[in-house]
Amino acid sequence: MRSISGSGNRFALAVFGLLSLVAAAWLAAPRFDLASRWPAGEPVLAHGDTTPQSLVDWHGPWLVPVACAVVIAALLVGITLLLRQVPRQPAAPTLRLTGDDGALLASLEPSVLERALEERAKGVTGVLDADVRVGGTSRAPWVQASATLDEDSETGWVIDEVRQRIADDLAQTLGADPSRVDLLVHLRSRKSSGRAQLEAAPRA
Amino acid sequence: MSSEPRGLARRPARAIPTTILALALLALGGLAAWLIGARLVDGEWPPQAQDVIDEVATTRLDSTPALLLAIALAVIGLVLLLAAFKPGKPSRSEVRSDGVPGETVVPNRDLARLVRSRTRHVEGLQDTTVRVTSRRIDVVATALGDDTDRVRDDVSTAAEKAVADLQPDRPLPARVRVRQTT
Repeated sequence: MRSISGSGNRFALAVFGLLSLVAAAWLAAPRFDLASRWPAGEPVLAHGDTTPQSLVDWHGPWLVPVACAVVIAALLVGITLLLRQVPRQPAAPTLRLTGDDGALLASLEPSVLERALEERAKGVTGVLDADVRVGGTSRAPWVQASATLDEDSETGWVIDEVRQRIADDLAQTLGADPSRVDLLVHLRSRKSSGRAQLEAAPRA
Repeated sequence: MSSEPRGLARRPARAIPTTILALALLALGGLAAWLIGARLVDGEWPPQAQDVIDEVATTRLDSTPALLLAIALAVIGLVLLLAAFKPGKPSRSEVRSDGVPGETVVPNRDLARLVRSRTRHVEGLQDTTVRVTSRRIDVVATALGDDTDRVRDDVSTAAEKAVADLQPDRPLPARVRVRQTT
């Protein structure tokens, strides 16, 4: 199940929100003559007669390198944030089945297991389509699946059956109960699904 | 890297404001890189930007344009902080918690479609608009005739029955508003 890191996005928004507020306060300070009211802040606060040109004149030697660094940082952060908006799947390493003595008995690609579980899920009456993702380790596997259900079916029973079937099959295959089985359910009308297939058939 | 995947009943990931922020950073960074690059290479600002830069360079920080810029930055900062800290409404509802660890979720949009489909056959009903939130089912029903109270009750019963089979973790009561056609 592909996802975007919400916590990373919120952190970035909070940081730039704070930076924006600090910049706004610094810009507004001369208007309210904050430097004279708060002498301790004199070294960092701008004065009313300050202009961008005077700032460049005073801080010329270090301003250009700092500006270059800020520009490069802005571009890198912008590109990184954009790339992070591409949904990513959690890592699904090869499952290693070991014996009681810890010796490696077999390796299993998660994709093989995923295909088998998808077929099992599709075998439940009322399931129109299914997609399964297996991850974790062979001792603590997890599953994230999505299933498209016929909205006219006994949806409650179908959901229970799909989750139970996936959990049982995984436990039987790997010898360990899954740490979690997450299921994203989509509800569709079988009629509209069938019509779409009939219309698509002549083109194929 | 965490071995457990993120749950499916998520709050909004704030992808749109973050994308806008990223594009703004790229645009401002690109503009600044162009200006500074031209200044470092040619020893002067690009001719296209010369007039604007001259005007900005002589603007006092206690002037009205500087104050307006400060206000704009403050508004942007507050909006970004709001987007960061406001949890937002989940677009999926958790249903049918059972003995198997993990969660089952249904997109609220699919629940709305299901409710619309199940309320279609209520007698005296012309059309419905359904919206499902994490707290309730909002139905706007367009009724034919005068018997709006019966239509409201029937639609409400049908809507709650439609999602009852899914056993939402949080009860989803139906709120039905009936409009009468002429």
